[in-house]
Amino acid sequence: MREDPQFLDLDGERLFAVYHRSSAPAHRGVVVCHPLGEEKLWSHRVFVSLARELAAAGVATLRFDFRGEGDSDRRFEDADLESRVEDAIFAVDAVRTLEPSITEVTLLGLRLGASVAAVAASRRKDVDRLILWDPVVDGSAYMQHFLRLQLMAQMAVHRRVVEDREALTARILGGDSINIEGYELTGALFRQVSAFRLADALAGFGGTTLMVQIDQGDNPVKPELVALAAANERGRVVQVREDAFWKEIRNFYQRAPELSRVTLDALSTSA
Amino acid sequence: MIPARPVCFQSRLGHVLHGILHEPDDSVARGVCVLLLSPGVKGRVGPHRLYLKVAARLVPLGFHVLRFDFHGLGDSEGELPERALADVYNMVHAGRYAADTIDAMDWMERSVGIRRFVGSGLCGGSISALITAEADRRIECLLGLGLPTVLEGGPENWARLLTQQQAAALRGSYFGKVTDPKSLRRFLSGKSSYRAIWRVIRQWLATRGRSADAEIKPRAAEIDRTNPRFASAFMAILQSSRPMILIFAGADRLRSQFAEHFESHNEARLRDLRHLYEVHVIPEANHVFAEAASVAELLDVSERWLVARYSSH
Repeated sequence: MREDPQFLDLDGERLFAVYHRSSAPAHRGVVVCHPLGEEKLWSHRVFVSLARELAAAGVATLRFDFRGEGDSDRRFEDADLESRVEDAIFAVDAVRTLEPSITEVTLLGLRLGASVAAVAASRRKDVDRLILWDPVVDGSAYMQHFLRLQLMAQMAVHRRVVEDREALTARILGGDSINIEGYELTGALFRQVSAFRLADALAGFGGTTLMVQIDQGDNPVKPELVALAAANERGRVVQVREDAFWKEIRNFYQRAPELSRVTLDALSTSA
Repeated sequence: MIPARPVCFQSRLGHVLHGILHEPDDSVARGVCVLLLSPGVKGRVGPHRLYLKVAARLVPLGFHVLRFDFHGLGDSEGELPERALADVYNMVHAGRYAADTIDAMDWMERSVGIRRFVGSGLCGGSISALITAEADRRIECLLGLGLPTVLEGGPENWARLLTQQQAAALRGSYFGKVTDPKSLRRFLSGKSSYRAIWRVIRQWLATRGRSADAEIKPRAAEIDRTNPRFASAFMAILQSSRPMILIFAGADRLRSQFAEHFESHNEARLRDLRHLYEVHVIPEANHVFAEAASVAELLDVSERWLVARYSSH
């Protein structure tokens, strides 16, 4: 196994990537799509551990940073959902170039990264499988979650809400950006994510889909995931017991063993 | 777009550490590298990519900037034995990453020919810089962003790092609580720090009967969570005439903790050294300097201080 950190050239912009090469030529490749903003940072180590486990199991794995995040080019505010989809599509080409023996490609994503993976897969004929960890099903609800983070930040600094959710929404739709945990959320990203529905993306994808609900096992599987799996004859949903490692929690998550097991199981069979 | 290249180097602990090196144009290069050390567990980009913003400001001014992941974090190799985040943070405060930082400087010296460094980083990154600077004079000055003085978390976390002196101070306090109903209720309800209590008792058993032990008197019930490494490192840097700037966020407690847990206890020792460190507080900034205005001020102050420091070099 070898790990090759590198900058990939996407039309003159640098996309930072780490390629986890398996010891023998791989037939299966995985491209990892990270979640948004600070969720990416909290979950980073889980993806590093997963990529190492996949490479050890003979699966070539490419992790990369979307433009506007991590070590890639662009400011966060200059990237949006569409640019992330372009990046994921580019990464699919990149993994095939890096490992010409690959015959099967999986796009794997967490949270908004899962949304990006689903949209990218719907636009490609050569993505065989989607593995969606705790996917964003309704982009509008997800953006509301981000606005709540902004309100919490106001409380922490000013000890009161100085601009409520409606005012924030009006401002962002009016062309301003709003600061969420240090990231400037623009109208373009807000609108594109708010319009996202996982059902629409999956309707355009013909491959195998595994959706993973991540919680402590004390909730039933979400009806919307059950419905999405039922609507796709090659789709299924599983529930995995892990903490919400994409946000600040009591423990530092270096790996997600149950998620790794489910993911490796899925990758052990043909899509 | 600033120059950047991925780099990897081996640490003395046997890990391959991954990072990004930003190199200025030869025409402006000062031969000084700013080490942006990883804060907490968030790796070499920092929260909201703060370290990229710092690098983008400093590289055109002629500074090399190295951002790398400590072992067990980011893209680097290694595993951390702790499970609780607060324990990880406290190991950072205890100087876990000084060796990795020295290895990074060795690598820079061998590979790039640079042997002059500015230690920097946010929160855990700045404490790593401080502790490394105590051991390695190649760090010529410190640009501390939210430098923490006290340990993280509750009693269950600091108990592991308790010094003998701190344990001795607690002993009298614990023994005095044996007859206190409120304390007993707390003990039985599981809210006490059993680890700390056990450590105090164990130390008492080990030293029982020694004459020195008899001199220990009950002290404050309040636990002193000051990082036991902080004062010695801070003083060592000042005593070797290496300057520091400490930039704090106005909306978090780190500035007041620095004043209360360090400055007030060391007033006499600091009197002749105070001119060597500067404190700048950014009002309304939060712990990670999230707001754009906070970042702008942080960058302006950092630039001004570094350029003044290295203007004649």
